[in-house]
Amino acid sequence: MNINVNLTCDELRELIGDHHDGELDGQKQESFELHIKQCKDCGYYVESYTHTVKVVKKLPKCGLPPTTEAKLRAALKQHFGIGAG
Amino acid sequence: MPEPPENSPGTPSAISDLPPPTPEFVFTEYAPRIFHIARRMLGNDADAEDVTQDVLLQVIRKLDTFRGDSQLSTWLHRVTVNAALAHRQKRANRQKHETAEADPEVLELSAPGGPVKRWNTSPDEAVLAAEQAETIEKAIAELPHPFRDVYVLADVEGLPNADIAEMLKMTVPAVKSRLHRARLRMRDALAPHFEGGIAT
Repeated sequence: MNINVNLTCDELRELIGDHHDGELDGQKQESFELHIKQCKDCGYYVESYTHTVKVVKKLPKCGLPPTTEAKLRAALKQHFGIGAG
Repeated sequence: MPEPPENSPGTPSAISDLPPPTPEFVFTEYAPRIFHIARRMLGNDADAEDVTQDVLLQVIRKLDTFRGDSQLSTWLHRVTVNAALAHRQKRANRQKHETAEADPEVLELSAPGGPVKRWNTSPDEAVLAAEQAETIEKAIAELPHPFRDVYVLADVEGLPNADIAEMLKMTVPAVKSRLHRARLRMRDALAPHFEGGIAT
């Protein structure tokens, strides 16, 4: 296989998103893997990109602030004569 | 405001055995989500509150046209995004200083600055520490609007790129490109905190 081993670090950074989403074609995927195997900085960079995507998904699902909830329920009552229920 | 979809598979007429959701159900299930999408897109609680109220009023007025929770959810996201964008536009018209926003397509990535440090990450913690959540929220708030909108909808809300493209009137490749740049910015913003820092 003709692998482009000359993928630069900048070029690799442009491909991280597609790599993360599993959308790199065979040759680019090979070049990508080869590069991060040989370049420690890019390996760490890809690892941290992946962690960034993962960690944001763990943000807690918060409720409404109590004052906001009270205001919204009052607005619904005013418009519809209901307390949202 | 986008109209609820009609006459297509998965629409109310196709699943008409279900009763329409009640206002209380909509409020309990969706008001927090609407509020937090708007808050992250607009950057403050007061504007998010206005948008949430606007969206809830629109949705409750049309509740009898809905029979399915998933369809309602999709429509709510679309109405919320439209309302938040309209709110931001109104605010920008009032406050001239907000108009000098950089074109996202010309915002270059920062050049790699020296050696990359390995992050201190634990494999699979289910819950974030409060300090970590705060750091991430701050980094999201500091993303320029065009990046933030795509990022919030894709990585925080988990919406498919095709839905985001439709909501923001962009192409799917443009969504992917903007999302990638947003993730790189988030990665760079979080780096000082995770390079042996707050991660446990």
